[in-house]
Amino acid sequence: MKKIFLSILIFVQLICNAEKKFVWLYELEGTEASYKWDNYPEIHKKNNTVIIGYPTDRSINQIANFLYESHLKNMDENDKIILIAQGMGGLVARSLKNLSNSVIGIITLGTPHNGLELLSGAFKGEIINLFSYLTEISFQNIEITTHIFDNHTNSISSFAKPIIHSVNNFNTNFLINSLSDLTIYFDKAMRLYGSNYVGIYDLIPNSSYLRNINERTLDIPLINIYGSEDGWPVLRALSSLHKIKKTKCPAFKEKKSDKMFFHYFYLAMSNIREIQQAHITTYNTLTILAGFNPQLWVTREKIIISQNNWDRIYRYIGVDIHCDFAINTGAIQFKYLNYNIHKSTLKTDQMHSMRYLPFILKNDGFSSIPDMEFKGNSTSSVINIQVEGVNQMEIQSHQAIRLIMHRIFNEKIFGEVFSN
Amino acid sequence: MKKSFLQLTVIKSTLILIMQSCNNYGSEINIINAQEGIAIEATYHFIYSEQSEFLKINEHKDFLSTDIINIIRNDPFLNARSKAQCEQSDTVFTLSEIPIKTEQRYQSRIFHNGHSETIFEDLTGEGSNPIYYLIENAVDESTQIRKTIIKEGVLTAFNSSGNEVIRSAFEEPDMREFLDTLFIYLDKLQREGNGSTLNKMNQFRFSLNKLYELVTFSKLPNANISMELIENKDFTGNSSTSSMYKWHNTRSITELDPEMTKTLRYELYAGNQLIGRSIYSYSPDDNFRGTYNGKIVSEHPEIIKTQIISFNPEGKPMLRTTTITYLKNQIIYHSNQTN
Repeated sequence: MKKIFLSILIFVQLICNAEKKFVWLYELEGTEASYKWDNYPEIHKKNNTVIIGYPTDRSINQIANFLYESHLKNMDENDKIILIAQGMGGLVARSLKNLSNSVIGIITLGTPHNGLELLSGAFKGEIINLFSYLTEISFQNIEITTHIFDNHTNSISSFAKPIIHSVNNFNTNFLINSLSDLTIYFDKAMRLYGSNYVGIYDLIPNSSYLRNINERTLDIPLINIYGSEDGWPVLRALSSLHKIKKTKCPAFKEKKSDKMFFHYFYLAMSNIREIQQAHITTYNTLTILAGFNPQLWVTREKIIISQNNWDRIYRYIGVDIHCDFAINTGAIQFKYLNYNIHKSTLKTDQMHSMRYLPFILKNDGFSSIPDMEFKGNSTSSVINIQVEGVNQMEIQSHQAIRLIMHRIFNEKIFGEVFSN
Repeated sequence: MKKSFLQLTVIKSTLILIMQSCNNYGSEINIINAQEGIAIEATYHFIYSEQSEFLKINEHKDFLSTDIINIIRNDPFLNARSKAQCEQSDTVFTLSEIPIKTEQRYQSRIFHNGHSETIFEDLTGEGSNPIYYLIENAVDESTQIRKTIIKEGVLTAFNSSGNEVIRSAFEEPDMREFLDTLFIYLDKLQREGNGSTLNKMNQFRFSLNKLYELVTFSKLPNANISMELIENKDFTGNSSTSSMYKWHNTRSITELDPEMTKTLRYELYAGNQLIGRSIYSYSPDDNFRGTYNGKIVSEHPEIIKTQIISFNPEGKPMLRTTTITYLKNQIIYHSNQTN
C-alpha cells in the first residue's frame, strides 16, 4: 500500500514538474523560409520556446520523422509540447503528434488540412492560363487596334493616334510593367516549389498523405487559424505575391500588403475607359472623312469591333478573372439564388427566376472547407478561427494574427493547455 | 462704403475661384480657361449592357458554321448547353454569363494646341448589378472607381465618396495632326456638301477596288445600299489559349442608308463563319449630331447592338452581346477662328 502511495506521489510530482515547451515550425520552405518567427518576441523571451527548422527535400512524413529523431525524442519524456506551425508546417505538426505522446496541443496558421486546391490547378497550368489568357487577349486587341488604319495614308492614320496612344499606355503600364512580370513570377514560383519542395505534393487534395492523416483520430486540442479574402481574390493574391518577400518580412508587419495590386488593376481599367472614349471619338469623327474616303466606312466598323474587344477586357479584369481564379482555388459554391437581372440585351426585359449561381467564398483557397472536420474523441477539441482581411500570405506577420496569438498564450482564451 | 463693399466682393470672388480650382473632384474642366482654344467638345452618355452566352442551336444559327458545330458536338458540356432553353437552364456556370448593365458618361475636350482632357463617370446606381454581390465579402465601395479625370498628363480616379483612389502619370497624345486633317475635311464638307449617291458609289468602287479583292454594291428592297468587300487580310479574333485562331479571308457586308451617310448594319465573315455583327439605330434628335459652325455635319448612332464570337479561357466558343443605348452622342467642332 505504502509502495503504491509513494509511486503515485512521485508520479504526480513528475507531472507537476514537467515543463511545457512551445515548439515553432516553419512552413513549406522549412529552414529557408523568408521570414522567421520573430514577430512574437514577447513569447520567445521565455525560455520555454524553441524554433525548429527542417530540410525540404523530403515528404511531410519524412520531415516529421526527422524532427522527432533530432529534437522531440531528446526532450524530457515528461515535457508537454505545444506545436505552432504555419502552412505545411501544420501538417508536419499533426504527423509529429502521431510520433510523440508529449504533444498536448497544436496551433496551425493557414494550414491546408484538406489540401490546396490551388496546387491542383497550378501544376496543371490552369492558374497561369488565366493570366496568360488575359495577356493574350490584350495583345491580340492591341494588334487589332493598331492595324485598323493600315492601308491608309498618313493623314488618315493620324486619326488612329488617340486610340493607339491610349492602347500603348495600357501596354506599358499594365501588360509590360505588371501583368507580364507577375505571370512570369507565378510560373517560376510554381516550378521552383515543385522541384525544390517535395512536401508540396502531399498538399494536393486527395493525396495519399492527406487521406491517411485525416483518417486518424485526433485526441488533443487543435486551434485552426485560417484566413479570408475580402474583395476580389485575384487582386489580393497578386498583391501578396507581388511583394512576397515584403509581405512575409517582420518589418512589414504594420502595413497591409493585400491592396498593393489594386493600383495596377484599377489603373488598367481607367486606361481602358480612355481607350473606349478614343474609339467613340474616332468612330464619330471618321464620319466626316468617310464621305470623301469611302474605304473608311469599313475601317470605322473595325473600330466598333475593337471597342467591343476592349469592353470585354475591362469586364474580364473587373469581374470574370476573379471568378475563374476562385474556381481554381476551390473558393466557389453554387447557391440557389434569386436571379433578378435586367436582360435588356435579350428577349425579356426583366427576368425573375431562381438559379444556381456561382458564389465566390471568402476563404483564401488554403482551407477549401471553411470549418475543417477532424475525427476526434472526448479529449480533443478543434477550434476553427477564420480571420477576416488576412490572407495566407500575410497570416504569419499580420497584426490581427499576432493579437490572437497573444491572447491564446497570455489570456488563456482557449484554456490552460495553450497558455504560456 | 461702396469701395470696401467692392473690395470685399472681389476678394470673395477670387477666393471662390481659388477654392474651386483646388477642388479636383470633377469641376476643373468647366472652371479653367477651357472655353478658349477648344477644337472638339464631345459628350457621350449611354447605357451599356453586355452578356456572354454559350451558343444555342435554335437562337444563334447565323453563327453556327461547320467548324463551330464540330467544336460543340465534340464537347459534352457545350453540346448540352447548345440545346438548353434559356428559361429552362437552372445553372449559371460562370459569372461571365451574367449580364452587366452600366451607365457611363464621357466628356472630352480637344484643344487646338493639341492638348486634351477627359472626364469619365460611372453613373450606375448601386445595387443595379447582382453580379457584384455574388461574393461573400462584398467589394469595398471605397475602392471602386466612379470618376476618372485625365488632364495635363495626369490620370486621377475617384471613388463614390469623391476621394482620390489613383493618381498616375498618363501621357496624352498630341492631337494637332488629327485636328489639322479633320478640319480640312470639315471645311471641305461645308463648301462641297455631300455628293449624290451615284457619285459616291462610283467613288467607292474606284477607291475600294484598289484595296479589296472584290467589291460589290447592290440596292436592297428597302432602298438601302449593301456593300460587300472581300479582304485578303487575316483578322485575329480572340482565341483559345492553346492556339491562335485566325480568321482567314475575311469578308464584310455593310448596309448603308440610301444617301450613304449612315451605317445601318455591319457583318464580318471569315469564309462562311459570321464573326461579328453590329446593328445601328439613329434618332433625329440634336443629341446625336456632330455640328460645325452651327451646322449639322454628321449623324451619330443612338443604339448599337453588337454580337461577336469569342473564346473563354477554356477555349469554348461563346457569343458576346453588347448594346449601347446613347442618351447623348454629340460632338461640337469649333474652328480656330471662332475662338
